[in-house]
Amino acid sequence: MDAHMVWDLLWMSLNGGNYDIEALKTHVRDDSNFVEEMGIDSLDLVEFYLRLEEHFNVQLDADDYAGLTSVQAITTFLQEKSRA
Amino acid sequence: MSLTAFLQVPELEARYKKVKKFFFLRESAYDVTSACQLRCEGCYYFAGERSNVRDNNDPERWRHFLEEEKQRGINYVNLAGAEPALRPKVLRACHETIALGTVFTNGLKSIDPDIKYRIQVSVWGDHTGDPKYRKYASGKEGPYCLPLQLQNYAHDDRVIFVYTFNSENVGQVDEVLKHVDDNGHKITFNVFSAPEGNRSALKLKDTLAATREKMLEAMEKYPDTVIYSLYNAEVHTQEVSLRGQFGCPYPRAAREGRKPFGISKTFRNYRADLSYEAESCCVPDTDCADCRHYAAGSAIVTSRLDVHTESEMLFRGWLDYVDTYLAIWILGYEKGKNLYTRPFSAV
Repeated sequence: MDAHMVWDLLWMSLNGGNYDIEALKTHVRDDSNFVEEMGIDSLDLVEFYLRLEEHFNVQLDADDYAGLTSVQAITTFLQEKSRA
Repeated sequence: MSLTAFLQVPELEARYKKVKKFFFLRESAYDVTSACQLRCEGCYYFAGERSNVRDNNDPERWRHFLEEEKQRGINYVNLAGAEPALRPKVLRACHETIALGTVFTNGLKSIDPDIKYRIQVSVWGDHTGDPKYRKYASGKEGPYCLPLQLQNYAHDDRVIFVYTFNSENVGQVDEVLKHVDDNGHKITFNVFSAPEGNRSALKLKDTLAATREKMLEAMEKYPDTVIYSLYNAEVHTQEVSLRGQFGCPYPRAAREGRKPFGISKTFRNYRADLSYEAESCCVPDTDCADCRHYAAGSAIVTSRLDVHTESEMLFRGWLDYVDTYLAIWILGYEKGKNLYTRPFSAV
């Protein structure tokens, strides 16, 4: 699973919101927490999860959102989904 | 169809970009005082145990407290119970600490003009209904609030009136609409939502359809005065409560085992002594099965972008709902034209 694609979808989702995306890009890691470390708002995250669903052709339940807290968590989740 | 496909439609993309700028709002609610001149039927504040606290009237304590709230990420305050206008020094301290917010008031006392919060003034009926549903604390029939409210807030663009529909007052809104329109103000709608254990005759049952029809009539007759949408009217007049339709993101919903996400993790409803309970809700003590409250909807419906991408029409409804919410809550935000056109489903 390519983390770069997940990052690209995230940046796309933050575009137009209240973020300095270039500044975020300079210090984030795959395990950076979306809310606590990156300050991402929940509706922007919902947009991101919708984009993930569409791009990776997976179904996310609203209860999945609480666990999808970083790019690393998402790539792991997607890998498990693809194995299932 | 999908979100990205809907965003290829220029008018949907433009509206989405407009509302997305406000996704940063992170709210909590605060009872400012346990004092109020009125005792309205079904009032959340006096329905439960919330009034049995000792007020914190120290503006410096409030200032310090809200600085802590800012550290928690809160950037929008909802100043509610019981009547915040009775504590002007506290309101000033709040405004000087967190610049965005709403004061929910009965409008009987004006709020200093330099406190640039949204002011939501509650209206319960016309000259016959308002005094009946809103008694004085002594138990005597209350005043007809609207003329006093209009006088206190003449030419005040912070104000939006909020008319609460109940089972008896559907037709009474005509008089209210005319006065609000004549005075150049805006108005939006709430739907009576009973507190837990409340058996009020004001609960809507057989009048949901009539309420919806009246909302539509009002929107058509006063398009520049009524801040509402077809989709708002639809979701707030269903037999099934808001929670039944969309689930509920408030911390109180955690009792149903929902995993915390978004507002579930940050929202708190503080009492006038600045304490709060873990199971917070925007309108505490509301019977969730009867919840059609406009403030609850502002989080319940807006947070469910995911369930509104099943069709373009639902997405249009969501955009209208968020646009309406922002026009009610954000001072200076201009509502756009409604995008949702689906004929209503039966209630």
